[in-house]
Amino acid sequence: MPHRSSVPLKWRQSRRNYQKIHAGTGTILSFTIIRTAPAGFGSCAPYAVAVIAVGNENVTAQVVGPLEKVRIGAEVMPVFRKMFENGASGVIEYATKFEVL
Amino acid sequence: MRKIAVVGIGQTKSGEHWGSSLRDLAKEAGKAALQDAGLNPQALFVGNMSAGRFAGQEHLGALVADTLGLRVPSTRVEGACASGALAFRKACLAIASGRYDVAMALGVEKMTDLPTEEAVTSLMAAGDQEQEASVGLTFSGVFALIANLYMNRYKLSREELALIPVKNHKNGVNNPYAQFNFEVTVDDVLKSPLIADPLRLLDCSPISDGSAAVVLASEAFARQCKDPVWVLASEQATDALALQNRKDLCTLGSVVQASKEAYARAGLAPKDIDLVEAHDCFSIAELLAYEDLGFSEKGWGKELLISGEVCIGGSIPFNPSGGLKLGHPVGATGIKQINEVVKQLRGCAANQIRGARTGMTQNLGGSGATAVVSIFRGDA
Repeated sequence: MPHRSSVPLKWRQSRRNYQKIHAGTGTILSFTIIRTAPAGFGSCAPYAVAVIAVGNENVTAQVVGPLEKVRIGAEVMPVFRKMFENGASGVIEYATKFEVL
Repeated sequence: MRKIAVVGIGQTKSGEHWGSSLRDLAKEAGKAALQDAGLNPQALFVGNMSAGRFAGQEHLGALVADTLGLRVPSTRVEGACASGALAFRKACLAIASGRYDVAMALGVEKMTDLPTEEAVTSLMAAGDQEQEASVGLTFSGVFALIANLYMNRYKLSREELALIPVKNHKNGVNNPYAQFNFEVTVDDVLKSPLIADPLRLLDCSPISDGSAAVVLASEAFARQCKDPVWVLASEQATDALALQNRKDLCTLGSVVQASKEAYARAGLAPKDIDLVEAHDCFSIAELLAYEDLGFSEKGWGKELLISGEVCIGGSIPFNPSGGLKLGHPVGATGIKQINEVVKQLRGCAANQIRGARTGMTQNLGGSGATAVVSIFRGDA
């Protein structure tokens, strides 16, 4: 098995959480733009990561789209996007990212 | 509780020690501390974050004891970048329990054998894999999230935040153990490459190799040693692992709690502290420490910086050694900080604070999920 950085099975099983996050829009509490990326994310850099308030919970997620649109207080909408290709086999992992409205 | 004192200290220079192994580093710091103390420890606690990832070596308790020729119970303690202070605190508790009279705490980390990308990934193992690392967040990124919100909410300018690395680089010029011995200007900080907006390269602590050790003794044993430095308190607290699950992103609740408990145990207040060695892994972390350790109200920390109160010669110098900005061998950092405070209280520090009697260390694990705050007093 290739090395996995997390537990993809848990992501796939987290349908309830997924539905909750995808139920409505969220608000950016804070964000950063990652320029020195960890292993596996190098080809995406620079990319925005934000802490987003969705209902009563916060989630940490990437924000897609033009970086200059990302700001504190911006309203964002969840979108389903490719996260990365896992290991040498190139299995594609998907995750929830957000887009500024 | 039994009185406990630091009776021996030792450390290596922080830096890129390509010619030294994990074992060599631990040996250098450990031997120095043993020689300084002149006592034989009955137990050893080793602080280390990630030798398994950084150097392919686990089982550090046995490795370090063996390297130092000690055949005593030896245990590795891990709490990310707070591993050093956790090992120290375990040694204190081991003596306080009455089971041992002399114990050693040694922190060590060998980080520079990995390429930067892999080192960044290994460090992020201190965050939450499922909620943070899985979306490509880095440690500089976590502190950048805090910095961005703090700057926005409390109207802190980028220039004001840059005063922290400027101060700490200046302090580190005289520190023989510092990784860098040069000064930087606000302009240098603002022109250094962006790592995770708004944090730039000169806001970040370096990737370092290094080790530091202390020998601790009960009162009866400490009285036989010269210059014992008394441990008035060493308190630890825990917060949510992921930043997103904290009550307030701009407050390190673990630091607030650990420092409150440390002040209470020592019977002291912030005004009684003469200097602090704080965990400035990123510039913003030192600013949070001014507030969360009780030296300033939330949002007003920058006033201490602008007025120079946290500089050498000010009312509460922070990081007179230069702090983590000048070396952050993660598992060793908490004990390196204690080395610096002990030197201040013995009156022999590179940047000696005149009349320093009471010192504090603050060591963070991750983005503050773990915090240890300790208070020390010299005998003089």
